[in-house]
Amino acid sequence: MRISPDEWVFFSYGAFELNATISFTWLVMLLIAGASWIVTRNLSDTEEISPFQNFLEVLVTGLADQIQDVSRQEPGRYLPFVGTLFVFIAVSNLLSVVPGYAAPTGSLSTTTALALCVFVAVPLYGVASRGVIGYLKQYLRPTPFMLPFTVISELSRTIALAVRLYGNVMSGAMIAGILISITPFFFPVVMQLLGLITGFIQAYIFAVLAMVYIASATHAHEVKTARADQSSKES
Amino acid sequence: MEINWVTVAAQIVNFLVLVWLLKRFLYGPVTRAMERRQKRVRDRLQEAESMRGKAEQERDALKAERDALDRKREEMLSEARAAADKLRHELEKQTRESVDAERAAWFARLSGDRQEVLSDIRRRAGEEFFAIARAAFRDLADDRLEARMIAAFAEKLRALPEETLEKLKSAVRRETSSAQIESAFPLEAEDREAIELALKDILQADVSADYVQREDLIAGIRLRLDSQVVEWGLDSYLDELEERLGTALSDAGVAEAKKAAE
Repeated sequence: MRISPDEWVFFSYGAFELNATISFTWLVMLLIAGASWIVTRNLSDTEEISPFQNFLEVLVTGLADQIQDVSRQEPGRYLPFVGTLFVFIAVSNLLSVVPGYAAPTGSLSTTTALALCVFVAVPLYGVASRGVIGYLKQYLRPTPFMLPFTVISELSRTIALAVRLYGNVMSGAMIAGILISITPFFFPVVMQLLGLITGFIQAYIFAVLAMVYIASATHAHEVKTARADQSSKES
Repeated sequence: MEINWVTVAAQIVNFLVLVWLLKRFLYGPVTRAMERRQKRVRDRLQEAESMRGKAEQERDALKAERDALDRKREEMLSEARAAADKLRHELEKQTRESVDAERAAWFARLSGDRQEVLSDIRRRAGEEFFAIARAAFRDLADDRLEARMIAAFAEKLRALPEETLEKLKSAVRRETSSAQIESAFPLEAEDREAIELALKDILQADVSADYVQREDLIAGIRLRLDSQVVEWGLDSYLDELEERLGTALSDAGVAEAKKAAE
């Protein structure tokens, strides 16, 4: 029994192995990007819209609203990154009802890669909105003594992100596998359904946490500019 | 539970590619489509707003026009009413005038009739009275009424005022005309004698007289000498009778007219 889809290798060339993680990631990417492309080829800007376009609009506006709620900022520049995190993780997890499929998010390598992306994206967004010095000053607040703890917190939350998602998805698949061998008929189906809910929730949690980290890196600046805007409007 | 770093690197690349793909095929187009739709809706709302404004303007203009028409109609109606009133007054006036004229003509006719009736009555009453009186005198006093009337006439001649007497006397002296005695009844010889005696008595001269019978005198005797006239008759009594009858007739006429008006 394979714990990680990394171990399911189709093809290898030197150090590179084409394992199930990468293959199914490509499949998921193809599905998402292909479906988006097909639907958005003929977008209608009238009141008459196709159900697929309607679904995509609901998805995009839902994501944007969620980002707005969490960050209290204009969602436009966060939408591609955070939205893709959610969509990719959600589709990866939901597809696990398909027999023979192994969710790429069940691999620690994938979750680590996503967590690293967040780890890099946080300072990038922070620097983009507050400047290098402004962003780095944040580590010295409220006192410079807090610097080690802040750094540790940055690292540990990245690891937590990766391990949380991996653990949830992997355990869901594991439980299903184990239950199939013990009680093969009814019970695994229930657990599988439960796994769908878990997978969806994990996608939401991952995206929201990423947004919270990014927002905390950009927030102070935004608040300051918001205040400046307000005072300039009042004057 | 191992991390395959090659796979991690590949997944990072995969994820970034997916971000780019979705930005290119999902977020961008969908967001733009929604913005276009919102703009479209905004435009249409603005258009509707402007159209409503235009419609309101038009409505106000129409309302003003209708009000003006109403006012005009009201004016025309009042003018027509005034004209109708004027016409009615005119017609009423005309009618009243024609009625008044008719009534006046009727009254004139009526009074003419009355006059005729009165004179007729006067003549008949005189005749009848004369006949009755004559009969009564004959029966009661064994006397003629004519003789009493001649006596009364002679009395009147004797009682003439000086002025008239003088005039009569001068007329006799000039002998330009003879005296003429007019009476309603034929005079007997003794009557003529009595009159001549009376004339001789007052004029102190012999006077020959012509005797003429006149129906229109009713009961009376008249002396014509030159331009002088001395007369005795029932005229004064008959005048009174006529006056009384006239009053009675006009009272009756007024009452009748009132009844007719009611």
